[in-house]
Amino acid sequence: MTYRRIEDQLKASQNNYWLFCHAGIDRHQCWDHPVVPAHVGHGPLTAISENPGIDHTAMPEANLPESDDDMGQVFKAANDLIIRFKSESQRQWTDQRSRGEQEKTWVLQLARSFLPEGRVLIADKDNHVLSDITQGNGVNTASTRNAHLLDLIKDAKFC
Amino acid sequence: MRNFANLLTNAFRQEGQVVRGAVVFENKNYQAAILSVPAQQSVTVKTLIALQPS
Repeated sequence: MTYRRIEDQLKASQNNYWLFCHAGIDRHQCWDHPVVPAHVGHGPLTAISENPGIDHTAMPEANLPESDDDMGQVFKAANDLIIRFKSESQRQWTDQRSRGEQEKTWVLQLARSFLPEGRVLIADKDNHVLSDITQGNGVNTASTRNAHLLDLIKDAKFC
Repeated sequence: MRNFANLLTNAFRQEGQVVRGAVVFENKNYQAAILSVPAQQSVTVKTLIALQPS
């Protein structure tokens, strides 16, 4: 089964999500945090924006150094935020996959109920066959499983 | 008897609409109903093809 399109959509949303998070952290620390002067933003705080763990938007890592000083507390808060966002992102990804499977199941059940003696083919976003159920046996036709939809067409004018 | 490829092409063009017609698929005659699901309306399924032997 192909989830390339879903993955692309999720990656795009994740990128936007982490850019937003990234910008939020910078703004919070430079403008809002009373114990951190604005000029400090050019010193230790740049560690946040330059941290490769955050810049890796697809799989960010909460690896900012957590010391006992004020900066350590800021980094700890940032790490906690990253972990929460990461957890939420993974949950959404799992939900999306689950929804895809459920959708395929109910579409197939609906089609079979209206057409018990017929043949039902379901193709994904890349036109690969997800299911090919023939005449009520409820079993996928192995030869067409994962085949490209257009490869199944043997019309004389098409081949 | 319509060409299956043409029917499929019409379904892709008329996304969201069920396209029907008689087709030959794998040397068998069918009455076909094809639905191409708009991308934003489905997570996984893009095309649904129902073939009724005729």
